[in-house]
Amino acid sequence: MFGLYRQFTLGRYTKAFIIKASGEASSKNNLKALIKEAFRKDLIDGIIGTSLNKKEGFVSPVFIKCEKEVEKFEPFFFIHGGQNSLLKKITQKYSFEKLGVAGHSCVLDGINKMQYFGIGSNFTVTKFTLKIGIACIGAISLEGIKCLLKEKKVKNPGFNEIFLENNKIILKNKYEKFDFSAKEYYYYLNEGCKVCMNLSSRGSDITFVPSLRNGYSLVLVRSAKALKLFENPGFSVKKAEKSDIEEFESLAKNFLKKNIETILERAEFGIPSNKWDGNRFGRFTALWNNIYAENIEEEVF
Amino acid sequence: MIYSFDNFDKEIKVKLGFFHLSSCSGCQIAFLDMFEELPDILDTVEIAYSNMLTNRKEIPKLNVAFIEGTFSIGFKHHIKLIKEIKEKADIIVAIGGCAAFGGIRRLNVGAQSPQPSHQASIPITELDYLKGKIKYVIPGCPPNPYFLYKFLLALLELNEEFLRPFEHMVFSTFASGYDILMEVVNKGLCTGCGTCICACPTKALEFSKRTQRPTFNKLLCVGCGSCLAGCPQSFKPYPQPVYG
Ligand code: SF4
Ligand code: SF4
Ligand code: SF4
Repeated sequence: MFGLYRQFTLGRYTKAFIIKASGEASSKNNLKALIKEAFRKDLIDGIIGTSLNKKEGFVSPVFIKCEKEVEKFEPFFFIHGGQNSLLKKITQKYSFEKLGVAGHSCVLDGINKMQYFGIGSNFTVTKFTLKIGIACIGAISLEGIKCLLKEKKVKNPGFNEIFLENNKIILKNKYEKFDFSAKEYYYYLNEGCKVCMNLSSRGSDITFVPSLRNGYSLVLVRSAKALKLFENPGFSVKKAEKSDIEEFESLAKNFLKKNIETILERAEFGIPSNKWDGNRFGRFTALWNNIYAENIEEEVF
Repeated sequence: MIYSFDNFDKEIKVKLGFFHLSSCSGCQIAFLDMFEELPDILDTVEIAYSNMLTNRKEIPKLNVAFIEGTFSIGFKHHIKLIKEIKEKADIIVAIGGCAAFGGIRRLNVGAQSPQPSHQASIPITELDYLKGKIKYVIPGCPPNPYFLYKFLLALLELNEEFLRPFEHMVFSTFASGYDILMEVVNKGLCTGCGTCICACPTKALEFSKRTQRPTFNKLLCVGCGSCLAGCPQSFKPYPQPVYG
């Protein structure tokens, strides 16, 4: 047997809140409220993320330069937009000192890696002052979403929102909501996400969970800096209940278990899985095959 | 420990040499562009030889020789230089895409001005003669100055974790955007983060909004190896920040 402990599934955090923006209750508005607060509190003077272009139907990377521009921002959580591809361009074009990023753990990984080694362009010396991790169950392609909707016999979906609710993945357009089980969704998941072991963006200052429960979304605060966002904020904030945390934890566990199966399947065929260097993978398989150990996650992962 | 430097002088400064083979010298310029950190480093290292920075004719004993550019086969000056570097340096670092993987020089068909004598070129990693002597390669065209700074620090501190990937890269004698397709995208590891696109100096990689993956234009690639080195899905022996 193998334990997936909270410290591994969710990572270390100091506080957990649920937040709700004023106006229409939606997960994307809750994230926008958090970003606006970061601008207001001067924690950032620009932020990169990915946004849905409703007209074109594409998700693209965006650089948001001020609080006002957050209005046009349309987070579409589970489609990637390659936000790191913007870094070189914005470093050359704009001047900023406190850059933020809103992205999944793999996006933060790309930044961490380039900054640790310094590979790439001059942006590698840019200070990232706030990393808003987006909790993730795996990204999906645009085509994948179209297929999911086709299976529900939706012809012209014009979707504009995606989030988590009651352990389901919800796609929403102006008029309707479509829900998908983890199993349905997993089929179209990016292969790269099927080997991911960091669904909760453990290396962020704060993790935003794109969930919705009575209009509230869960956030896990990890750094002292991120805690400032919750001092007299412009959004409604409550301490998260045990059940709020457990709801995401159980969904994440479900996906992590599937991912472990995928990793083992790849290993059997001799296909590498990214996040493991040889040593770690050796230790992981040894544990998987032999023992039940407590608190091994930091050791192994 | 991976290697040891001998021949320290009294001040215990690490002696560096910069050598230019067949290339544009961009890598040496990148070294000089190391931002404000450069003076810090000069306390610990001495630039003992450089065709651009020192007047020295003789190559002194060196701890680390950085070589940029490709080796031109049959070109007497390169042959002499490589022999002398092998003899005088403790270790060699192949700096930049040309020295490491051939880089833009892979497209060289020879007999061109201004040096028609450079007819055929290979990266120094292809030279059996230097096997074991080249300890690291540094990808990039040119490598980012900050990367060079961090590399030098890692070399001085013998930070094996930092250096390990660049030690492995000595065994790759060719690099291109196909690496991203073959090693990451084809193997189902790409997450669409866009980091490779930012690492590419020539826009040979672009982000496809339709597929959320990088697309590769081989006509623009100069074979510098930055994309695969930068991709978070290629190697990961770097520390993850942990808060709380
Ligand atoms: S790697 Fe690029 S910058 Fe360096 S020598 Fe070669 S062509 Fe010039
Ligand atoms: S695609 Fe770009 S980064 Fe990759 S090797 Fe070619 S030029 Fe270098
Ligand atoms: S850097 Fe990101 S987008 Fe590029 S190949 Fe790697 S995972 Fe994919």
